Amino acid sequence: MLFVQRFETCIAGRMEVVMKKTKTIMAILLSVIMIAGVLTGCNSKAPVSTKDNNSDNQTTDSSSGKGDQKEEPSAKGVTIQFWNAFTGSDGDVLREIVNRFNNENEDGIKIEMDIMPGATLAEKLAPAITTGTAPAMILAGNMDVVQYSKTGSILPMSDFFDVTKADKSDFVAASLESLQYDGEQMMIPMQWFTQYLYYNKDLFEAAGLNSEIPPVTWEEVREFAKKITNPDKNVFGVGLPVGGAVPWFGSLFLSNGGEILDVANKKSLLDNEANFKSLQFVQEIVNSGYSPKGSTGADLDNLMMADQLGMVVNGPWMVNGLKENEINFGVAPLPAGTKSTVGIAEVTGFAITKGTSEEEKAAAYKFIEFWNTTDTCKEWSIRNGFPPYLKSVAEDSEVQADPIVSVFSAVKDYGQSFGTGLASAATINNDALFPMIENVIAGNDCQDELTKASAKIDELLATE
Amino acid sequence: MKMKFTRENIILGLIKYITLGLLIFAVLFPLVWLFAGAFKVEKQILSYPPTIIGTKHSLKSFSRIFQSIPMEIYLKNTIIFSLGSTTLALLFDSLAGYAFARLNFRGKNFLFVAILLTMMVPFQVMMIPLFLESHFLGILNTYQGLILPKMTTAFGIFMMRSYFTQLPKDLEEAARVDGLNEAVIFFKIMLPLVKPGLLTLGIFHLMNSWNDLLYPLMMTSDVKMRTLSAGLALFVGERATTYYGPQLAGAVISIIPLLLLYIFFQRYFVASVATSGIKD
Amino acid sequence: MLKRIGAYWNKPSKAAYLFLFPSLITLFLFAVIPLCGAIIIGFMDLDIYFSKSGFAGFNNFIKALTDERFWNALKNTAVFALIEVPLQILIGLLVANAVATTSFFSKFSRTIFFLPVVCSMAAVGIMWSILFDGTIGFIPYVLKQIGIEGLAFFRDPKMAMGTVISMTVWKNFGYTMSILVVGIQSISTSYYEAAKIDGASKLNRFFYITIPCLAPNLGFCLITNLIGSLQVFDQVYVTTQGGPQYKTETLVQYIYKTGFSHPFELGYASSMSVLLLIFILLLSFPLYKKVFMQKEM
Repeated sequence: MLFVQRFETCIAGRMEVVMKKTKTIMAILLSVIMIAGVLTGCNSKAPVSTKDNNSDNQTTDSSSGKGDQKEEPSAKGVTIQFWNAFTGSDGDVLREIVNRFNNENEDGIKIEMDIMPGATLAEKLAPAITTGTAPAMILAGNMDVVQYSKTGSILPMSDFFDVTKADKSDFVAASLESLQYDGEQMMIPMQWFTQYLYYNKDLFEAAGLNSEIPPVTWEEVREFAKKITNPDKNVFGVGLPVGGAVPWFGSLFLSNGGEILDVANKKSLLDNEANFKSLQFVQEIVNSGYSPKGSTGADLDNLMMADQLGMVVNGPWMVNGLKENEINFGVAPLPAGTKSTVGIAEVTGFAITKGTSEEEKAAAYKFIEFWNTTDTCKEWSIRNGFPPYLKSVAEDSEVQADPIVSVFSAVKDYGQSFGTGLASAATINNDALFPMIENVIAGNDCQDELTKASAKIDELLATE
Repeated sequence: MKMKFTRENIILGLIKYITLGLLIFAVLFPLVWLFAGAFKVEKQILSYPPTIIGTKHSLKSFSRIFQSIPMEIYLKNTIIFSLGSTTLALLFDSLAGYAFARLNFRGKNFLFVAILLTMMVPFQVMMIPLFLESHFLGILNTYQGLILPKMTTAFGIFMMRSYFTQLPKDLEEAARVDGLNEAVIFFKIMLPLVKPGLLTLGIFHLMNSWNDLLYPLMMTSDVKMRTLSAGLALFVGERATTYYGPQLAGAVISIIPLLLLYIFFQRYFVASVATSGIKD
Repeated sequence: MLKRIGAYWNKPSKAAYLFLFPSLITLFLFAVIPLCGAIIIGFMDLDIYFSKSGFAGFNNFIKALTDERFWNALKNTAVFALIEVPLQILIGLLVANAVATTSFFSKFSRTIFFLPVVCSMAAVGIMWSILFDGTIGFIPYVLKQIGIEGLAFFRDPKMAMGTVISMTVWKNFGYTMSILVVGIQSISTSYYEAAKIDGASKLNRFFYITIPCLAPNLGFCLITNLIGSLQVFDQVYVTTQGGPQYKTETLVQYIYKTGFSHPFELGYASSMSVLLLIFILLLSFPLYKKVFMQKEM
């Protein structure tokens, strides 16, 4: 207490000095805080600025009284974000094409690409849309169309063919139809594909098989796999991924005559004898050691590129990676089941997300238009082996002469789409069917898993 | 102390050194393998039988990861985020720690306990509201958004408080007699005395924010704002990325800065965790 | 105004509030508000699109208690905590006891053992996933050479949790070790001398001197590791993402999945995080009080 009194008397005397010092210190403190604020503020300006002016646009849009609203939105000098899931070697080609567009387009449009795994993209997109931080353009699959449309995550693109020079009649009708919802064109095709059987010719020969004759039935796949498998060299006959892959099991089910969904009545048809047999077939292959247990799509891609895997079912994008790693490989149409040959066909499309400004949309349209020119699509087809969905590309002599692309064009022979018109199509695939396969491959009872997955599908369909 | 070579001592000693040797190997091996792997050509990472060092090396994995994801931006963001939050946290933690250690005021105990209680609430519990709050404040995807919530930590306050408590009792009284005000006393006299504490806490904050995953993952969706940890985790993701080499290269790049710092400031790194265990 | 603030600086009891101001405001904004928010949102029916929002009462909590995946996640978290925490402390303690001397070898060992603590979990996750990959990984290959075949580690439902735990211990035991080394070094040598004269063996000295003297430090390790392990997320996110067959899905991983991936139910996720908070408080508060608040409460 004594101290306080002394202190206070002291203060009376030195008030002036103290006040000065206090001021300097306050000033220092304040400036530290302000500098921190300003620094962070300045630095962050760049990334938010595009969105800032986006929200400005929205407010003017909604107050729509102003005369300058009618002006054509200009894409000049606009930078847009572009999210996609091309994590594989096909992403390298996509990046090259995007870079070329960035350098060559006359409007100074810049596309900033962000590649992330598909599951992550879906995970990040919803909060980004809610908070107005979403990219202008994304790539998504036809299975996502309904869900994204219903939640208002993406904007209709029906005006695409009016605004741009793209020719609607050049598109194969089916590719456009699979990306429609409620009479609107929600996405514009970027590629379409079904599944194919890749096989390693060197491993075929090492197993005494003719490297020019791939298996034509699933039963043959098993026989070939048995011959190719060589535990001493860590070589597996066939890869059956449990996630992060194309729905290869869907193709197997359908080609063995087993059905999955009754879309019209929103009911699961999964639990049937044919599917049970298909699952048993899968389990037997794994239990015999012909296939690695619990591998994902990416694991198997890597095994293929290391000459350790005889066969795998995958989409066209593997071609680029296999070529780059100098693998002696062949591609064949999917093997037939007991009833027919079926491959789940998928279309990837460009979508514009909610909250995108007119300028950003115009810029995105420019790129989508550029993509859907004969030249770009042809390059994508030939370098990555994708089947053309533009008639002008399909008729191109160079494309027709390409042995790989011609195999891939089987999409029109046996491609079947999955869950069209269902919001939960992707969820059914990821949360019901893939877990079922994962559990069956891990050794669980096939019938139990079938029943469980079927119930899960019914549960998901009930929310439609 | 003299060591007696009794049988017990010899056996215990042998067990000790063999176990320690094995443990050192177990810790170093994955790291050596990681660094070697980052320089291997892709095919050698996958080759069977696998090798540790490999025979064909290249920088391709590094160039590929820089092509695939903007590592230089991630690096820059991580530096800004970790340095920014560390600097501010040091300032504010020591201010608050000082007040709790050396000043008497009303509500001191209540406030201190309240602050310690916030330490018990895991970030995961608050992440959803924090995300929404940042959205409403408009600081998502900005450096402010990353730094502001990390400007102070209950733990840092607790730690700085114990440093200030350890200082001799009458320091500030003498200063007060000289007529210095509290701010001057703090910045001119007290703060310089806890420099080792600041360095230790600084390293602690730096390490945490550099390696933080969930927080930056949530607070950024823009690729231009992402930090190394979050960027890498997104790149690898669930079962998605083809090519192992770039993943290894990315891991190496994310480790190296802290590793270098660790080599030079080892003492403070260890102290940063060790002193956190000392109570006043 | 400035003048009045200036005057504050001269009175210690008032200046204290100025010293505290930045921290208090930060903690209020970014800890207290979000915490209250979590509780409020936990009682709401809210998704990320804000398409539905309304009071849900206890529905979310009831849903959690009847949700198989929630119990599974809770079980996994408990398993993780019950195995990881004792294991890490045990290894940390034994190693600390061995390397607490000032010899070169001890110092060198400590340097090495602390290395993984410095590395980010993201990097460690990448490293371990590839090193332990069932088909191309180096470790399964070595095991195969000595006759142990077909282990898939992260991809095997039976082994995945064990692998995640091992990885965590590998990364973090150096942390526990460092805390305990300081503790051991501060134990007065006279205790040991006296025990030696009495003829106590090394083991006896370890059990009757080292451990009792370390009790406060061990308590600190226990509390921080326990709270940390109940919040386990990073190591799962960068390796298994909860799989295979949800065998490694922890509570926080499930909360994250529920809130930030389809179906984006923020309300449900929040209610589960409130339950998590309750578990943490129940489990660790008594210990926490002892370690941190002895004098204050």
